[in-house]
Amino acid sequence: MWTGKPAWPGVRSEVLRIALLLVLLAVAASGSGFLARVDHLLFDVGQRLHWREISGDLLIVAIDENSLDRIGRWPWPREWHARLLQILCASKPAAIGIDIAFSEQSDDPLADALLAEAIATCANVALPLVIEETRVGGQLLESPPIKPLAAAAAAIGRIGVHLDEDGIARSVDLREGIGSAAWPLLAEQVLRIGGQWSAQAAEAVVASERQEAGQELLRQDRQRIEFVGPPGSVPRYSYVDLLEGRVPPQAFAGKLVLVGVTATGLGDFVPTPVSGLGQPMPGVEVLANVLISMRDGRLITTLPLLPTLLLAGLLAIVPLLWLPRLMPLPGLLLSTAWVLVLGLACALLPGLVQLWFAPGGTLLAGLFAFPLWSWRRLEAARRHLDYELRQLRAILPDRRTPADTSAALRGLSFEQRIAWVQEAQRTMQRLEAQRNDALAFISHDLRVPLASAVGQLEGEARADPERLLPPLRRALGMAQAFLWLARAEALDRRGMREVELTSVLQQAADELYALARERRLSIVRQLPDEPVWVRGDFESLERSAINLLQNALSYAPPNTSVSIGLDRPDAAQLRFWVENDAEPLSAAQRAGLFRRFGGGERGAQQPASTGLGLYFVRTVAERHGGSADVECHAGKIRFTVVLPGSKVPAPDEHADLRRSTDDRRPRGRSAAAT
Amino acid sequence: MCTGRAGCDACVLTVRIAYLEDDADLAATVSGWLRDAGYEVEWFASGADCARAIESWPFDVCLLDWMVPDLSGPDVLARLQLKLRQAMPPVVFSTGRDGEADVVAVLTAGADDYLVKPLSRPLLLARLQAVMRRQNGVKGPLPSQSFGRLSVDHGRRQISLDGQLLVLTERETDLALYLFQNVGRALSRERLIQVVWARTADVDTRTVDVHVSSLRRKLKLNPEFGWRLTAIYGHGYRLEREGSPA
Repeated sequence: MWTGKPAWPGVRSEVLRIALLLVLLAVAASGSGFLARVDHLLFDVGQRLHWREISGDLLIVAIDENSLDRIGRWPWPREWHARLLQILCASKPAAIGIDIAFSEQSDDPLADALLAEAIATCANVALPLVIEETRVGGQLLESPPIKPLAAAAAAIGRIGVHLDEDGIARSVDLREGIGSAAWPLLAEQVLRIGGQWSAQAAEAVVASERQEAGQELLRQDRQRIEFVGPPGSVPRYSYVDLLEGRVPPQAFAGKLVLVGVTATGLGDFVPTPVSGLGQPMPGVEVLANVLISMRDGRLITTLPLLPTLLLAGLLAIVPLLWLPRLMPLPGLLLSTAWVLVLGLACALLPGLVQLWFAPGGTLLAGLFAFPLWSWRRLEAARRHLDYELRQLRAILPDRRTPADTSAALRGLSFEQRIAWVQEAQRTMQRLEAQRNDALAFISHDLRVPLASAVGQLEGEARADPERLLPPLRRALGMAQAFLWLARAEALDRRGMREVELTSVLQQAADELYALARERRLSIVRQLPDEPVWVRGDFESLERSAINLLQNALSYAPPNTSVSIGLDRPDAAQLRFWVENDAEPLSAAQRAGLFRRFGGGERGAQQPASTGLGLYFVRTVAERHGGSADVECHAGKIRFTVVLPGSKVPAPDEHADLRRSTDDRRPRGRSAAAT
Repeated sequence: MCTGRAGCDACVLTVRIAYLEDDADLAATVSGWLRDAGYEVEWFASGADCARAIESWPFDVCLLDWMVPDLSGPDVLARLQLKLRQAMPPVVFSTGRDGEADVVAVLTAGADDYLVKPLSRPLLLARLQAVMRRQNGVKGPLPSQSFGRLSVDHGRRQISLDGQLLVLTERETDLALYLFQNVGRALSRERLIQVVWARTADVDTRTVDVHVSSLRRKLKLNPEFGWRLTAIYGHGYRLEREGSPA
């Protein structure tokens, strides 16, 4: 494996492709806004992480439960409000904002007049305007305070916040209106009256102009509110306490005062990022928060769409800085950390620099970076594995693995591929062992007789062929045995054809007839008359039988006989054997016989033995799916080769023979063998 | 032995042999054997030269090595077959390769026989003699042959062992007579089928094996009786005399 520099071929283009994919993902997710909820969640987390100290110059006069209990059901007669204003103004507050919509005449015109007078007297009261939907038709309507009050007010400002798709108030539109975005916020107006707002005054909008502009609701300058704390953070005085003189008058001197409803029963509540579900924030407190944000210049600007997409795209590819250079685990950890840090940073950004960047798309890309990269890396690893497998299969002689086309390779699972590689590795080890054997064979077994022949030729003036030939024959025999063995090890069962086993064994016996005569031994053939078919390799089976016979002829005492036979121990097996008289072998000797160069102790007595003969027999038997064994019984030693082979239907010889003598007989009836 | 007879034939006919072999030492030795046996030998170290010479002045028999620079033995064979067609002399391959696939490939390509290196002098002479006999052709059925204990009467289509007439089927008789006409030659299964089963369509090649195996048993074609009936891998059979009858 690799660390540090990325190493696999094509990694650069792979990085580019993943980068493109991540950028697309981030931009698409950010642009479509389907991760808005994630963004909201992060924003809310940020809001809760960032409490601020509230300065004491803003007070709320709260129409709370207590006031309702004491004064009576809402709506209250307007003279109460007039009295409140008189008390308030007496302590000279900087400005008063009333978060109560006086958009309809009350039943008592006198009360309206009283209120108008109180407002005019104060001269620093801002009244609200509500933009609402009419009950019928869903038409939007601006509802300003009734004329006398509006005329008396120092300013009129719009109340209302923007609710996001999850129903939570996070932002306000600084300007909004029907036909033209004309109305400033009530908070802004209160600030302006209090002399704490430096921005230019709202342009006076003539009603007739607005009529022409149509009925569309227009908004401008949407900005997010920075909440100072959970509901109740802004100091409050109860309305009724104020009326009944329980509040010291100087409490309001020079302060900004907002009057509004906080009693739960009256329903003027909105859910906010800082309020839990069970504790929404009174409208007047939201207004207070807006006011504080505006005054302190802490309204949060949302990054516009284009820069958001650009930034999302840029941040999306950041993980690719480290992924190609790290191992999977550090890559995973770092990618996870990246997503967490990015999320946290974006949540904290509004509190620090009053800027909101919606990170949903970027986070999604960050989450996908590791899986995508791992996928490509695995693909690359798989391609490499397949390539190496094909290479291995091309060079390795081992063809036992199930399939050999790349199509078959494609169908394999990753684990199977690994198993294949392991298999190939084992084959390599086996080959290595064989190579070492071959080297040992050449360096010792082959070199010794050749060196002896060369020594004789060099040493004497005239080398005696009688003495020269045996070592040379031995070397040649060794080389031949080694080649046969190599061929046997490469045998492939799939390439085998049907072979007539009796003639194979007959032929082997023929081959050794001369040797047997020379040693005054006879070969007894206990072979069946009828042909016996087996799937196999003619040459290696013949060579096996020859090796067994040679072995038997080497060890049989003179004037005895060596038997070769063939039978069928059961329906699915064939067995041929070679038997000679011999001393029984110990179990250890028997076990060692079929090993490579295993005939050792026995073979040492016989100069012609290569030590490969019986190993060859075993190899051939195993390559045919069978086995080789030896047993000692009653002064005989019997070498057996068992081959898998059920009865193969012989060619229709009888019909053929019959037809040759009598063509008129119908075919297919069984006839006695000749 | 056969060698003596071959020498006599050669005296009369002066048989010319084209010998392709790139190993000069080996070529000198083998050429010596062949000249001693009375053949006229022309040695080539290059396949292309050899092929040109044979094309221009037909030889009686070709002994080709498999591995030679430029044109290899099989290439020479293919080229000669293309140019000479019916006038093709018999071809014997000498090869260091004794794998079944290689031997069968050579025989299938049209060679008449093969020898595996290292060459043995009697075997080489026997093979050459056998293929040349084929070339001269069998002029009519031989009246009869006597091989020690076996005697073959081609005219009466009878085979007897130790004077005892053997009972054979029609096909077995055909096959036996054909094998005895071609002692020492490599005979492919296809050829045996052509000759023995000429009128029968779609003969299973294993049928040949069955009949050969039954002949081996009935005629005692084994070394004890002075015979060897050898299967040449998947290609065919060869019937040879072995040593002297027991």
